[in-house]
Amino acid sequence: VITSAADFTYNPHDADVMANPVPYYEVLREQFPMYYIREYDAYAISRFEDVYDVLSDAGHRFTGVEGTLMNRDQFLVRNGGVLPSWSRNPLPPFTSTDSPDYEDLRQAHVAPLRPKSVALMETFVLGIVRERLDHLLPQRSFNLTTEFGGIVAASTMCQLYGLPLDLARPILDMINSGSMTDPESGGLQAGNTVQLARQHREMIMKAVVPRRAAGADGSVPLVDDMVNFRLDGVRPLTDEEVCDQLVCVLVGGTETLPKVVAHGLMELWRHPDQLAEVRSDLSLNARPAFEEMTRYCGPAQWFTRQVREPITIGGTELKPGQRVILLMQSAARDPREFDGPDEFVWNRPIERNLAFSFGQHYCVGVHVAKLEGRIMIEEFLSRVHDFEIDEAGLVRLPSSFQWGYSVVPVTINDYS
Amino acid sequence: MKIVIDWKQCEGNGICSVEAPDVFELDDDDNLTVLLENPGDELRAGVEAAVRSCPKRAISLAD
Repeated sequence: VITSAADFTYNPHDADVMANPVPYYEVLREQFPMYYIREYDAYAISRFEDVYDVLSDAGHRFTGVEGTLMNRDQFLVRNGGVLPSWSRNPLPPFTSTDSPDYEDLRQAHVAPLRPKSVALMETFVLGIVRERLDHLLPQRSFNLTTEFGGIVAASTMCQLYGLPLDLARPILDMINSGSMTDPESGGLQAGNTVQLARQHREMIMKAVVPRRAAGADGSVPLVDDMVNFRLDGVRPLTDEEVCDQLVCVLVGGTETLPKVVAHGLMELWRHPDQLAEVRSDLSLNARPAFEEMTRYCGPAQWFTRQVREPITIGGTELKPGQRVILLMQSAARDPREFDGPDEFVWNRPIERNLAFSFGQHYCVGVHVAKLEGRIMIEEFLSRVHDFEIDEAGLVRLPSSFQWGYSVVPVTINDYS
Repeated sequence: MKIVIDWKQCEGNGICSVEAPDVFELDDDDNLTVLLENPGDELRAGVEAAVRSCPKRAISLAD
């Protein structure tokens, strides 16, 4: 609990921070915008402009090679001025590499996630969303996060990976269990990260093995393009390596979006005037409403980078090997960038949005997320004429990273 | 206004093609094509949004 600035301390793994980081962000932004965490040799960066400068530094003075989401055990080992390099045999997930491997591996599977390909997914997503609503609305009460957004997001992932749709539920359960942290230690609840990585790999293997056996002819481009990738133009990746490259899209595409949409629909319910405005022209308004939801309701609290070359950020000189913890949700609530940032305003002007990050690690699935978000809002609100949220039943578990509503109980009063 | 692309930075994320579809397009090989190198002022709002939201900060404007 924050009592005064004099004895203020911040650590993303502190139990009180994990229970509710928002009050900490305000103190950090106003008094300690470059807050040094000695035991991690890391700066917690809380102002929008500073976060933006780190993410978009064209001089490549930051890297994510030590991880873009470091755990406490990693933080506790100092780099001593030298950054780790990455293995090229076997290759780790591309998110733990750097140029030029990072870009080569990312570009190798991004084709089905670009705007034109994603536009072709509209019919599929619309079908899944309508089917979910047909199933859920007669039940009258359900968890908006998992039962609506969760299954839609996981089904969309099944489609992208060429997996049967009945794997949507196991994928969703696996990924949700992975983001649960112990409220005291901040460690993973579902065993260690090695075990979680094994589960991811086993699931994605169900997509990779059949695609390789079938010749990977490009009909499931996300998987096939990775199977056909050649490192340095020569070496094909093993099945395990292919799986590891495809973890990012699966987790990113399943974990965050359902929480954003469920929380966002709750905000509209809390603001009946705004809900009425959005309803007045759903096909036009769902898009900007989703944009504000990504700013206001984003559950991912922070990402890490490491300093490659000396650079000054926010007036502070950073040295090679040090870490920065980019407090994304603090940046999203920075009054220097957004007017009245703590208010949800469905059509507020958002000139720069960091909800999908920026720079080298910019969200590879941004267009898919925006398509799903828009369709879910549009379809839910066109079918449901009156709904309410049971706020007493909300669940938002303490977490160092994914602090979002895993349970948003909705009651449907009137639908068609 | 004149569009300037830093081709070393562009990786075809396609954000610009959503913000200003009359000006930016990804071709069939997912390479960025600038449809109008000197777009008129009526397209300024979309172009400026593209400049701001390009995640690689690869787009700038000359005058």
